[in-house]
Amino acid sequence: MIVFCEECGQKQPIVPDQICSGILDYTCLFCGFHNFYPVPVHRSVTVPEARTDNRQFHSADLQILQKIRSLPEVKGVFLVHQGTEVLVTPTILPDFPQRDLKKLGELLAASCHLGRDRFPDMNELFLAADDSVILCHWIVERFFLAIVLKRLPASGQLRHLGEKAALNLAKARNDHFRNDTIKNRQGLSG
Amino acid sequence: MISLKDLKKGIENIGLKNYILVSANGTVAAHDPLGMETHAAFVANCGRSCSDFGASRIGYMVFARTDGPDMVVFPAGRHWLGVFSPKEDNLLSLLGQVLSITGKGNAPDSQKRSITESDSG
Repeated sequence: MIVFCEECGQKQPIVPDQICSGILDYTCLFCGFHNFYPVPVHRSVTVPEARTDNRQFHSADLQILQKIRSLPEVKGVFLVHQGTEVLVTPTILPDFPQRDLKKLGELLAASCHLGRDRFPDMNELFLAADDSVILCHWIVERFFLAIVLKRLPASGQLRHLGEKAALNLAKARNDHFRNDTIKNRQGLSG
Repeated sequence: MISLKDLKKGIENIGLKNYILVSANGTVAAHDPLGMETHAAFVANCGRSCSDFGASRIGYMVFARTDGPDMVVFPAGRHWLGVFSPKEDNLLSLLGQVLSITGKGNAPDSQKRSITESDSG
């Protein structure tokens, strides 16, 4: 399968095990940009059973999201990547049409960036839109965790869990990015 | 849509402090106290970022901070209102007060209801 890097536009081949649960996750060999976005998965593509770094990473992501989703005050949880819309949706939000999710993701990302630029100590963004209140955590560059609440106020448990999840996701992504970069450098030099 | 005059009157009636009211292009329409105008560009930019999604669908945005007062931004007619909420305990009360003056167009009934229920319960 040939894909194009979102940052530099260079095309490059990928192997099926770089796609997990419909999400493509790879680092561009040309510019080093970490691409992370949904792709259509054909039935003929089989993901190997062997556990790879990618699979562990996604499994950890989903576990955190499911734990947050299980709280009674939560309506839904999803991850946002700025520029590539919503990434993971364990529960599609009932109050948001699918076409709105991209715009909502962009709004959350833009607001988080604005807030962090203005207030470096900002740790959470609450956005009330339509019939929902969304708690948004910045994870790493262009990558955000969004939790849809039934109503305010958010409990201390949820806020603590959200913050912890964002930190874990950031660490996982940084480790993953570092491993990918090392592998790519080794691959290029070899 | 609420007029600027009604908005200013409403702000005065609820005794709002630490606020700034700006138009979409960043022009300051009102503020209290002095010094709040330094946040004009930020509040206007928040408004601009909502344009694709639809400002009328936004109730408010709360920028929660660890070391300072939370900043809350509301759409208010053709303007945007930024308010510092000094204590987290007052946030729900602040939201209820400001939503009551910015009008139903920017806050769905269910949103107001959820705040009221939370306040009473």
